[in-house]
Amino acid sequence: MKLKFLTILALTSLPMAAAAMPAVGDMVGTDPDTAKAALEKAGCTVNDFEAEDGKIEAKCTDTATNKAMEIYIDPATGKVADIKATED
Amino acid sequence: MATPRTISRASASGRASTSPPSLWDPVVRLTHWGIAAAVLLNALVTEKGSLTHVSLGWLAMALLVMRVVWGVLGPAEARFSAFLPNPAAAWRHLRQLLSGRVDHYPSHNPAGALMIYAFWASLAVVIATGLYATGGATPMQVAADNAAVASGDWSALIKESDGESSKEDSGLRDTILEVHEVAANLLLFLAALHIGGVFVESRVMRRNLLKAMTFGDRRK
Repeated sequence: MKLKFLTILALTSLPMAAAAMPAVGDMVGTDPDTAKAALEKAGCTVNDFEAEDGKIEAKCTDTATNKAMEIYIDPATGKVADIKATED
Repeated sequence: MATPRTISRASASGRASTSPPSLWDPVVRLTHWGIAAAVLLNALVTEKGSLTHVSLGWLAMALLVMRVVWGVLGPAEARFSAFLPNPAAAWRHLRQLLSGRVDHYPSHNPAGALMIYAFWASLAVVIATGLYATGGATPMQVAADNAAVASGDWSALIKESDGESSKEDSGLRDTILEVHEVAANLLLFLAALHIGGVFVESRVMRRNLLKAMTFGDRRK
């Protein structure tokens, strides 16, 4: 019974945890200042922007988990194209 | 009917003509060490996708092309015709190694030859997947993109034909990068085997194979 309660709690709080990070499709901006502000507001502190395969790669730290993330931004639309946890 | 004959079997008189060169030609040595250095640096040192990583990848591609051309136009011992892949002969050679008495060949021994083709195939996969992942961007384009992002102007990265990339594109790219990494690790594994092979062959053949690939004396 207790386990069931915990499971439900975990499942219902999951979307809230996910909402703490930017999501694919989110508009963050087409210039570094706007994008930095938008990503920080969404919960990822930007350390650096780099170019990768025609996209902007924002290297940022998830403020909730302290994990290094890579957020790819389409420079044309200013939308998040992909999100990855940094390997290594 | 042709009588079976043993090719390149070492004999007291014929040894000189059936031995590998005491010093490989400059193109063979340059491409060997150039590719070895590029692979090691990119696998262990450089940051993936960085300008240095991409530049070394292009350098390795140029060296590989150079070696392949040399395999047709180079001196006899560097040509493909001198070391065609022959798994049966390679197996025989490895068994001879165990017995401590091996046949000598004018170019690479058959086991070494198979190793070379495995290297080239893996390297070709690493280069092709690397090119795909970077959209074929040259080191100059990567440098220009980096400079644009560093200056805060992202508009330079926008390509005319580029629509919104789909989720499938991103999934395929991840798979390609996975292949890139597996093939690169295979290269490192082959390199370790290769070093072991050179050591064993050098002892059994009583020839300094390392010297022949570096700065040995050229003897007839």
